[in-house]
Amino acid sequence: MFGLRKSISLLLILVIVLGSLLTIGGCSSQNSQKVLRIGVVGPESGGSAQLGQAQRKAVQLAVDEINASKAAGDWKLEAYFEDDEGNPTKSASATNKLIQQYKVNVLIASINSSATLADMVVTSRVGIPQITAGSTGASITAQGNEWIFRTAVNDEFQADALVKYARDVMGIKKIATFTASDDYGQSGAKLLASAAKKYSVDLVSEQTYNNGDKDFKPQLLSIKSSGAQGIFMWGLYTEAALISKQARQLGINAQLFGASGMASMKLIELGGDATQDMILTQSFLADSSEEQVKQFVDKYKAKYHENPIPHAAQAYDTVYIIANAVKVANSNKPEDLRNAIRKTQGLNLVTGSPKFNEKGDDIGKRLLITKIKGDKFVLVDTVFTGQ
Amino acid sequence: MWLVPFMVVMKGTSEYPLLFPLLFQWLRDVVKLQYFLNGLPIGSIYALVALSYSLIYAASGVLNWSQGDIVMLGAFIGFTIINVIKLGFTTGLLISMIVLALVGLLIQIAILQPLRNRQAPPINVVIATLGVAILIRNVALVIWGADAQNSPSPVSTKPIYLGSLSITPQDILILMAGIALMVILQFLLKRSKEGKALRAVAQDRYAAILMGIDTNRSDGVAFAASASLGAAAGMLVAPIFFVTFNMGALIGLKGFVAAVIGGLGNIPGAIAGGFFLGIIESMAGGQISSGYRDAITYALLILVLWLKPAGLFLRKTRQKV
Repeated sequence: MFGLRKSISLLLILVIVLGSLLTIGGCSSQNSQKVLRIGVVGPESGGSAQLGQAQRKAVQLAVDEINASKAAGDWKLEAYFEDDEGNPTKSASATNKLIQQYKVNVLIASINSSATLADMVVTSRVGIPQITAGSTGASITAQGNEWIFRTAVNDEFQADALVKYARDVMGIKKIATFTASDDYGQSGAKLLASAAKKYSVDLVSEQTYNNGDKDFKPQLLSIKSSGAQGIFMWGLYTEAALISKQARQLGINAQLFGASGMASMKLIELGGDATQDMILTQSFLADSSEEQVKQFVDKYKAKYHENPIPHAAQAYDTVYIIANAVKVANSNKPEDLRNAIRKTQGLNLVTGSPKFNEKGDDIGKRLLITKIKGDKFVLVDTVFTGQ
Repeated sequence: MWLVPFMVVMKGTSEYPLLFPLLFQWLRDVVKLQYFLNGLPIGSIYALVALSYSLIYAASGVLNWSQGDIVMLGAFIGFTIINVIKLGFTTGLLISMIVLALVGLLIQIAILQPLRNRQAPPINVVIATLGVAILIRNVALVIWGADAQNSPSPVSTKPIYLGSLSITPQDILILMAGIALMVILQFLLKRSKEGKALRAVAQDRYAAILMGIDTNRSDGVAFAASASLGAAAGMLVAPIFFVTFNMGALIGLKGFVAAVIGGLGNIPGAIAGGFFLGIIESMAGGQISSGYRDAITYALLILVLWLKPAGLFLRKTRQKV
């Protein structure tokens, strides 16, 4: 009797121990097999800190959602963040750290185009898929690099859409470009010039300025005497606001156009009346009536108590693209992930229905043509980046 | 044909009017006249800043590198008074000028005077003013943040047309206010007791000491007046340039170039240098290339230093070391 009870209790203990071991073992083995590690690099301090912080917030929001809703099937997403301060050298070392130390399977990097280009050197050498959710520089996808994808809108699409809109909708025949003398502005100037050629619009004046300039009247007078009907700016909001003001002070009534780099509420605040009716391309408007956008804005606001900026929307979509890729490929191997990302289709996300061309640019993205009315941006037309 | 008056002037003793026939020739074209007009308000700002450099240099032989950041501080204080406390532009201008006069005085008492009394080498004094500049800039960054602020213009910015020429009331205000301040300064220098003392010190510091003039007091007056002028320049430029914590670097440098072109320490020269620089910048930007505008400005500075080290507008060359 006594011996039987003892052996039963021993058996019970054995069962419990073994059972718990099994469950623990089961859990841990499942974890190590089905985890996808996402590295995220962005400027979380320095001049473009606002963009990097928005990217982190949006990625975290998407990762939590996907893990809760099992949108990536059996795969659990984990995000690892590094700050590059917008500096290419720091960005490349952050990328190295994420790949070597955290063994990330896919990288979302970075925002500043020069930093993204530095990261691409690392990812293409190691062979890790990289998606940039913030860089618009045309050169990023013009290098024949098979590991790079972009969910931001290529400047090329923006220049094309702006010039086409100016000609077809506003009937503008003569345009002037007024661009920053840095690589962002100069790449914009080239893209605008080739778009003007493509749509046979006369480019009558090409002016540049240095970032930090305050007096734009000499260049504006040249533009005025050239008889341009539209002025296309490519740069940042402070200079764009000053240009708008000084153009009106010189009595220039030409239509103003700008790219997404200057599309900030600060532009309207600084430029005031002078920026009214200015036309800009953007990928996202927080007060849009699209159902996907509304849901995203509500979730983002509930968590962070602020309106999401376009970079946040693009980063959020990027995580969903990655989740879909790992679910379809059912593998976290770099080649499998890359091929799955390239074949992305059928997703209906905040900024469009992503589809990548052979260069890695998203050609299923909504590109919003917006106009400044009062103190906000109003949607006037929507085109798709692939058209 | 137009060369005749030019050659007549060439034969004259003064080199001053040499520029005028050239200028008239240029200005026969309406577009060029427009560039000329656009250069005037900016020139007036440069002249005020150049004056503030020259005033201190003449009185105390110190190059005050914090002058540009004093302009920025004046602009921010004025911006706060007008847009946050909601007092008018004139009140804002006056308060900003008074506050900055006190700041100027503080710089003189707290930094310059102790260094002077310890017989510190001049380079230490210059470095100390550079320290003040960086201090002011960072304090402004903490208080007002890194974003540009828009200071609304007290008058309309809608252009007025004169034929095909256009000018805004805002530009006229800047020009007029600048000229008014320069006239007031000249009057005070010529007529007031402090002004006379200041000019005496500028002429010969040691003789002035022997005559019983308190040089610490005249230095203080020069710093206060300079900072006050800087504040006015900042207030006037705020509606056209926006107010940013780092605006002082550019304005300070341009004002310094204007002061050197006019002859550092030369009061009428500083005014002429300011307008000259403003007009040249506008012309060079429009007629040659906007990309090379700053290059042209600084090439001009080097040329002036090379050909006429005492400044374009100093008739009698006098060495001041």
